[in-house]
Amino acid sequence: MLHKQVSILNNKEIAPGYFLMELQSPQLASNSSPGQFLHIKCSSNYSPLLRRPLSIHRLLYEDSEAKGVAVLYRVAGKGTSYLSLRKRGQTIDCIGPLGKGFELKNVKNAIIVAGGIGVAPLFFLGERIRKLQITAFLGAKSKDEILCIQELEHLAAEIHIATEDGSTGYKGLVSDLLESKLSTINHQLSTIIYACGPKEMLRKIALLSERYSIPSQVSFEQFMGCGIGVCNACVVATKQGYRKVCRDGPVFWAKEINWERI
Amino acid sequence: MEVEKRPDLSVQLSGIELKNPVILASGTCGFGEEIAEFIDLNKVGAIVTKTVTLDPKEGNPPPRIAEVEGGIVNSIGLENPGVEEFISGKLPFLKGLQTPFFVSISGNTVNEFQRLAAILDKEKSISAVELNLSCPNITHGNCLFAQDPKISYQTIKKVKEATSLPVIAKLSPQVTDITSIALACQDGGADILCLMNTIPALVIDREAKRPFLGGITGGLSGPAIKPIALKMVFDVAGIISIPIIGCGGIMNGDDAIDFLLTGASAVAIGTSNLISPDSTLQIIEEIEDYIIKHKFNAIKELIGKLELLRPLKSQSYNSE
Repeated sequence: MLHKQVSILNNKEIAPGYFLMELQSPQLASNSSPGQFLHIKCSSNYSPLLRRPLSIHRLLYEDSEAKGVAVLYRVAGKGTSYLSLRKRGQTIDCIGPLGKGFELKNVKNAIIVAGGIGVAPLFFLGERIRKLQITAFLGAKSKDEILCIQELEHLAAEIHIATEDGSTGYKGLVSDLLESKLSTINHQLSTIIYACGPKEMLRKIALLSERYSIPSQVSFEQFMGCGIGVCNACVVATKQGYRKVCRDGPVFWAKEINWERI
Repeated sequence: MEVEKRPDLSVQLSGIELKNPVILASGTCGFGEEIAEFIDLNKVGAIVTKTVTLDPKEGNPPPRIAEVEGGIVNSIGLENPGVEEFISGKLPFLKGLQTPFFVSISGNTVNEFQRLAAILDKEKSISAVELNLSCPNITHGNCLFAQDPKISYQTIKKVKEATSLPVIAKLSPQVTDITSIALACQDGGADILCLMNTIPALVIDREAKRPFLGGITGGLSGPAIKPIALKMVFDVAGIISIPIIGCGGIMNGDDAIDFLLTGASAVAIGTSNLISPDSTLQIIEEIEDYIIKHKFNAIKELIGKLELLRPLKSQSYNSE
């Protein structure tokens, strides 16, 4: 874990409203695991006041040495707007890697389900488990917001795409597309669903997970206070009571979550 | 090369020695252990635990935090594991620190406050108990303890009967006359006042047309509330003889100096810890810089040194 100013190597818009920011830090690169996040101070003053949690999207290599990490983010409000204005060569105040990432043990087949910007941590995961059989499902509102397809093609045996407006792939929700395909996917052996996206998508994943007896790991996108487990603001209801998304998550087993209280 | 003499930053709060006047406020540093990975706690003046209640509390439903201009509104609802688990699970870490720690407590009744104080009295590693009489997310009937001078007085008196530990009363800004509450606390036997808790506040989710926070209302903290907290210290400092911990929107050394000049003997830092868990170390450095720049030898020399160009019309401030 580190808390310091890190240099921005690059910060570019890769799709309308979506930015990829590369940060130089061998220390972050060597300590991060898929599903963990950085807590980033977006401005140098008190507006906005709080940091923004951004999933680690991928590791950056130079001559096969890990030299940094990238975050992928959507400009959603004041914090990410400020962040999008940051330029190469500037530094940002960054705490991380934080949180508990994806469980990678005893997996043979991975089904990756990304809703919108939820693809951010799942690409890092895909890279880490590239030797496994990976089936990817990507969903977004429209074609422009389906991100990382080319990169994922190197990792996944199959990629299924859903858009809400039908501009590419299946017209509808990615969770519905997953449901329609689950009967045809071989998930007999040590299959895990890894999902990140809006709560309603994760709820559906949990339902399918139970119906098809496929364990699922879900990563919550949550606004946070401190990001380090001291303020108890970012809790999610589990069957054992409230748990902190920043410290006990952001990744949980779907069956741990008390979905009636989400 | 001339070796610069470091100024003396130590302060005394009713017999409690702090190496510097900077305290981590309740609810923003967990029980110490959670934040220890990010800051050397032995460098701060004191830390105040998250509020502990007799029984475990689950806290309010999420969302529990909203960001607003100049601050945040929280509605955590005193989530905590209860006093028993606090003693067995959280206290051992705190005992290992070289820094004094205060245990924040809250009860639904005067009797609960008293029982908590009696339980904690047995723990000699604790430097003080802070009575959270003012959490805006917990109501007792229609009002907070700290909105009623009689109840504040009774609570402190009963707590003092149950413990020999110094007692801090943490008060609310949401009162008609803070001086009457402060005096009632002093009369009840409070050793220290903490001014102030968050300000009751509301945030709306206008798309859903409902309150944003799961607990409906919350407490505003952050830089926006600093001038209000400062005014509370200003109103109270001249009329009581017990020390004050200034708390509310302190983000940097300048803010802290303002509170010390106005009459606070120490400052508690809350929201700033959520943004940078080690921000208090920076604040300590900035306080030290101010002292050196203004040629003081010790921080005690500047406490309450606010100069008034003319006396106030009201009786609420007395420069003596």
